[in-house]
Amino acid sequence: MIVAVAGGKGGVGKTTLSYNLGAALAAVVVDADLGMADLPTGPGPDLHDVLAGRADPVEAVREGRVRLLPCGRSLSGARAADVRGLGDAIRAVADEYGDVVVDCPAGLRADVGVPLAVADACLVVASPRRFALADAMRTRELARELDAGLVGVAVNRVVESPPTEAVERALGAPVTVVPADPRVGKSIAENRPVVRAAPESEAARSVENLAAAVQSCKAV
Amino acid sequence: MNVDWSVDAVDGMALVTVELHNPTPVDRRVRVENELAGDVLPPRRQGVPERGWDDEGFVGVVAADDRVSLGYACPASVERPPVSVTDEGRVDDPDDGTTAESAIRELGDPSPPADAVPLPTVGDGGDDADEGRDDAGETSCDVDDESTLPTPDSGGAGDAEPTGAEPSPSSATASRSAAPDDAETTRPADGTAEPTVAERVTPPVDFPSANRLPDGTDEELPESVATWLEAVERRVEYGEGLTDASVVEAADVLESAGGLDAVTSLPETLTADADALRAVATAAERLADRAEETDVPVDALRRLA
Repeated sequence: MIVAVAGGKGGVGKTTLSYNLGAALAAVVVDADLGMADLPTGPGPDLHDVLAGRADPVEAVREGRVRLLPCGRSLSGARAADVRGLGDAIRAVADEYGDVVVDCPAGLRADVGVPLAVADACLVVASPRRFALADAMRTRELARELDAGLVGVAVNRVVESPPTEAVERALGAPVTVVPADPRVGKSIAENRPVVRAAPESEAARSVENLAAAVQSCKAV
Repeated sequence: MNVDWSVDAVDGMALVTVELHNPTPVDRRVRVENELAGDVLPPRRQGVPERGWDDEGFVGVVAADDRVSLGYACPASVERPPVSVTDEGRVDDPDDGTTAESAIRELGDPSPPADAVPLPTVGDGGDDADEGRDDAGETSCDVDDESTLPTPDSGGAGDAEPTGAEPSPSSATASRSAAPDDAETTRPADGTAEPTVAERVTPPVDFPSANRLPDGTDEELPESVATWLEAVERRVEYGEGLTDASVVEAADVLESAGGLDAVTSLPETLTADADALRAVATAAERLADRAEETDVPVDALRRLA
C-alpha cells in the first residue's frame, strides 16, 4: 500500500511524520522531495540516481530502524532526475516491500502530484495555524483530483487545544492531533522513531492512530 | 467513424491533422496510426505527450455524436493518406484513471531550471559547488560527488557518450570560447541551446592555451574530444596515484578527488575508459588512413565549375 504524506505548506512536519509513520507501519519511507530532500542519506544510490536511470529503486532502499529510500541533495541531481519515473519507482518499492510512505515536498507541482497519483491513500499534514489549513485544503483538493483517498489529517505540533472540529469540517476527514514533543522533532536526527523511543507518549500514540487509520484503509 | 485528414509539408516536416467524427449514439474507441516514414512527434504539455499518444500514434475515445481533432508532426516526406484509422468498437469501460503522466501534464515538471545548476569545477571537491550538505556530516552519493570524476555514463539520460554529446558546432564553440572557470559564460552564448547533460557534468577544464593532447603534443584537438581526454586523463591520474600508494599518498589523492565516494566507482570507470579509448583509437586510425588516401581534385573541379 502506498501512502502519500502531503501538506502544501513547508515546515509543517511532513518529513518527521512520514519517518515516524514509516516506523509504525514498518514501511519504506521514500523521500520524494527531489529538490530539497530532508531525510538522511549516505553512501550509495539515492532517488536522484533512480530517476536518472542509474540505479534500481529497490536496491536504493536503505535498511535501518526505518527503511528509507533517500533522495540526493544536489541541484544537478534534481535537474537530472526525471519525475516521470517516480511513479514506477514507488510502485517497484511497494511491490518488493509492501507498504510505502511517500514524503511529498511542499507545493503543488508534479513531485507532489505523481506520488498522489500512484498512492492508494493520502495523509494531509497541517499545522494548527490558519494559513497552514488553507494549504492543507489545496492539497486535499489535489489529492481528490488525483484519486488519492484522504485517510486522515494530522494536525501536527499542537501546543494548545486545536480547533479539531473546524478542521474536520473544512477538510472532511478525521483529524488526528499530534502534540508537540521534542522527541518527535529529534527522531530523524537521532534515528529513534518516537513509537520506539517513547511508546507511551502522546505523540507516539497519535502516530500509532494514524498508522491504524492507514491499516484500516488497507482492509477495505 | 468519419475521418477527415490533411497533411502539409513545412521545412521537411509533415504536419498532419485528423478530424474524427463519431456519428453513432455510443462512445467509440479509435486508433489512429501514423503511416509516414518517421517518428510521431505528438502534442505535449510540460514535456509529456498528451494522453493517448505514443510512438505509433493515438488511441482514444470519441464520445457519441462528437468530434475529436488531432494533430501531430512527423519528420518525413508527405504521403497520402498519412494515417490509418481503426474503429475499435464501443467503449464499455471508460478508463478515466489518473496517471503519473497526467499529474505531470497538469502540474508541471518540478526540476530546477538548467541555469540554476552550478557547473562543477575540477579540483574543488565537488561539494561546495552545490548546496545542502547533510548537517549530520553524512556523505551522500550525489551527482556532484561523481562529477568530480566524470564518468562516461554519468549523464544518466543515456545521451552522454564518452565523447560528450553530439558536438553541435554552435554549442561546442560557444561553450568553449569563454573562460573555463566562469560558470556563467561557459553556457551557450545564444541562450537557446540548453547545455546537454554531458556538458553539465563534464567539468570545464583549464587548458593552457588551445586544446592540446594530454601527453603534451602540440596537435590541436576538437574541443569535445580534448575535454573528454582531459577528464579521462584526470581519472587515470587518480588511478595511478592510488595504485600501490602509501597511506599518505592515497590520502592526498582521496582529498583532491573529493573523498572515498568519488573513487569507489573508479576501477570500473577506468576499465570503461580504457575500452572507449581503444575503440576510439581503432576508429580514429581507420578514419585517418581513409582521410589520407583521399585526393580531391580541387583544381579540376574549379575548371569545371
